[in-house]
Amino acid sequence: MLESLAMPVEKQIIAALLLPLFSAVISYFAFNSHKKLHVLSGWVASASVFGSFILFLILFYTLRLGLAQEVNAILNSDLGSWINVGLVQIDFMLRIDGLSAVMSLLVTGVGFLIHVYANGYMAKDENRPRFFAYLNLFIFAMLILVLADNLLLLFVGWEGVGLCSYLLIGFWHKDMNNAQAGQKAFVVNRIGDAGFIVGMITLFLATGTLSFSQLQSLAVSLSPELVALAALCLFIGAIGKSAQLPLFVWLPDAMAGPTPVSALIHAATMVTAGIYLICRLSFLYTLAPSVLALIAIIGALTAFFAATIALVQNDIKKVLAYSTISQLGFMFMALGAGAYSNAIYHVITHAFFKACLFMCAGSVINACHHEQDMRHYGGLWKKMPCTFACYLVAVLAIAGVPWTSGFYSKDALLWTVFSEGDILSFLHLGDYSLAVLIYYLGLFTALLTAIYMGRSLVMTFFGQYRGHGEVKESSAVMVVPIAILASLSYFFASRYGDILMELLYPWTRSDMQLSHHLLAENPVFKEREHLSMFVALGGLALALTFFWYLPKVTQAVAKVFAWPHKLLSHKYYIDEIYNWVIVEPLRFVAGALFKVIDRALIEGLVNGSGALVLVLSRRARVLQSSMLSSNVLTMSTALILFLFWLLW
Amino acid sequence: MISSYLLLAVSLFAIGVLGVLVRRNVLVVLMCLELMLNGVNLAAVAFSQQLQNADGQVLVMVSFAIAAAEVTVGLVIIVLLYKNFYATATDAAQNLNG
Repeated sequence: MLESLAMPVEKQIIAALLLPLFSAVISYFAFNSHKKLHVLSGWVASASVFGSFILFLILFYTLRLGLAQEVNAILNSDLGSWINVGLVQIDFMLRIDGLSAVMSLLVTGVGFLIHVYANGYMAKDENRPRFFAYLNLFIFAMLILVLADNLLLLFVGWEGVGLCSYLLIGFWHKDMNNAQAGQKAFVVNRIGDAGFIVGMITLFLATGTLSFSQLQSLAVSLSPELVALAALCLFIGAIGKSAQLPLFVWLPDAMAGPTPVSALIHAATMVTAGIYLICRLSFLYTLAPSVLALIAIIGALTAFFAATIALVQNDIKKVLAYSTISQLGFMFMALGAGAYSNAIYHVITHAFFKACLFMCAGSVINACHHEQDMRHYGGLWKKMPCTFACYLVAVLAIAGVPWTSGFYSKDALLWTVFSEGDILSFLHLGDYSLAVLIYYLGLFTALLTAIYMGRSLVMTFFGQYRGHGEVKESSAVMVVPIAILASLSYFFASRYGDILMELLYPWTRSDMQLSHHLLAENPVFKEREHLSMFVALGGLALALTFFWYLPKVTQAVAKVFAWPHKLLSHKYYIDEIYNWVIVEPLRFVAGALFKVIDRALIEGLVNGSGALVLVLSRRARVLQSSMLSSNVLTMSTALILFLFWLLW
Repeated sequence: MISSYLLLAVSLFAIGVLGVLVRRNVLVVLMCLELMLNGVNLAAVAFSQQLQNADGQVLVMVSFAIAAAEVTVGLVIIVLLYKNFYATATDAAQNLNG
C-alpha cells in the first residue's frame, strides 16, 4: 500500500528536503510584507516541517522494509553531478540509511514541536516572519547535513546550520550583547571549521574522493598516520560545532537567542552535528584508536568541567547550556569508546529531554516577564503545574532515574566506556586503566548532573515565589509540545529503543549488539546499572536536601569554599584567559597592522598620489586665469615667436 | 609708394592688437578686432596693386563677407554676455578659470 501511496523514493527525499526551504522563502519574502500575514508565517513554517516529518516517516518505513532484507540497505537520491572538474568528481547525492533516517526524523520531529511552541513564544514579536524563515532555513541546512552522501555536501549543511545559528543568536540584534554573542559563536566555530577543511582536503588528496561509501572502501588501504591526521582534523571541526573543551565558550553565550532557538539549535540538533560527523566517519575513526582515545578524554573532561560550572550558575538558561555541553561530553565519551550507536542513542534521548527542559525554561521566562535569574523564581509549581510536571519528568530523565529514556541511554553509554579495555590500554594510573578512570569521571559527572538539575528544579518550582508580578501558566500552544516531549523523554527508550538500535546496527560495537534485556543479564552490567541508579537518585536526593530543606547550610558551605565557588561562577575564568591570551594580542596586532600597513602605507600611497598631482598642478593652473586679455597676450606672444621662428 | 600703404596697414593692425589687449569693454574689443582685420585687408589690396594681380582683391572681398558674419556672431555673443552677467566688461565672465 505504501508503494502505491508514495511518490518515487528519490522525489520523496527531495520533497522532504525542499519543503522547509520553500516555506522559509515564502516567510521571508511574502509574509514579511503585511502585518496581517505575520500569524500565518508561524503556522506555514510548522506545517512545512510537519510535512517533511511525515515524508521522512514514510521513507523510514520503506527503509525498514529494505533493512529487513539487507543490513546495509540505503535509499539514494542522485541530483546529478555537482562539481566535475578534471579529476574532481562530486555528485549532489542524498542518502538515507539507518543513521540519517534517525537523525532526519529527529530534526523534523523535534523541529516541528519547537516550531509549534515558537508560535506561542514569539506571539508578540514583530519580526516573526524573519524568525520562522531562519528557523525553517535551519531545518533545511540540517537536513542537508544529515542526508549528504559526501563530505563536501555535508560541509555545506555544516556551514548552513552555522549561519542560521549565527542569525538566530543575534535575532534581537538591537541589543549589542546579542549581536556580539552571535559573532562569538561564528568566530569560534570558524576555528573548528578550519580543522574540518584541512581534514577533508587530506582525505581527498589521499583517496581522490569524498563520497562516504568510496571513502569507506578506500580508508583501509591508507597509512595509519594519514588516517589519524584526517580523523584528528575532522574531530577539531566536531569540537567547534559540538562545543567541546577548548572551543565550548560560544555555547553559553548563544543563549542570547530566543528560547526556541536554544532548544532546537543549541541543545537538540545542531550541536550534535559533531557527533553525527564522527559517527558517519566511524570507519575512519575505528582505524585511528589514538584519536578515539583523545575523543574519550576530551569528552570526559568537558562533561566534568561543564557540570561543575553548571552547579553554581543562577541563570536558568546558562544552567541548561552548561548541562548541554556536559551531555555532549558524555556522547563524545561513547564515541571514544567506539560505541557510535550509543552516542546517537543518547543524542536522541538528550534531544527530547533537553528540548523539553529548554521549552519549560522558556515557558517560565515568558511567564515571569523575561526574568532568567532563578533567584527570582520559586514556588512556581502551584502557578504553572503543567510546565512543572514536564520539567520534573525531564529532570528525572537527564539525571538518569530508572526507566526514563535518559536512564537507558546514559547507562548504556557509561557501560560502553567501562567495558572498553582498549582506550590507550598501555596507559594506567595505579591499578586502573584509562577507560575505567573515564568511566568513574563520567559517573561522578552523572552525580553532578543530578545535583545541578535538582538545584534548578528546586530553585524554580519549590519554596516561596521571590519575584514580582503576576505569573500565569503558558498557553496550550506552548504546553502541548512540551508535554509531548516530556512523555517522549519518559517512555521513548523503553518502547522504541530496540527499533533504534536495530536501525543503527552497522554503527554498533560488537559487544553492544544485543538488546537491553539480554545485556541486563550480565552480572557486571547489572552491578554498574545499580550504581548508576544509585548515583541518579542519590544526586537528586542531595539536591533536594541541600537546596530545599537546608538552604542555610548550603549558603554556609558556599561561604566556606568561597574561592572555588568564585572560580566556578566565573566559569574557571576561561573567557578572561582567552581574552588575554588570544583576543587582546590579536586586537593589538590588528591595530598595529591597521596603523602601519593600512593607514601609513596603503592610504599614504593613494592619498599621496592625489596630493602630488595637486601640488604639480598648482603652477599650471595659473595659465587658466580666464582673463581674456592675458589669454590674448599669451596667444599673440606665441604667434609672434612662431613668426620669428618661421622667418629665421 | 607701397611702403606708406604698408605702414598704415601695420599701424592699423598694431592699434587693433593693442586695443584687444588693453581694453576691457567687449564692444571696443570687437571694434579693435575689425581694425586688425582691416589692416590686413589694406595690406592685401596694396600688394595686389603692386603685383598687378587680382588675387588679393578677391581675397579681400571674401574676407569682407566673412567679417560681416563674424560681427553678427560677435554681437550676439555680446548680447548674451550682457544678459547673463549684466556687464560688457571682459572680466565679467571668469567662470572657466582653473
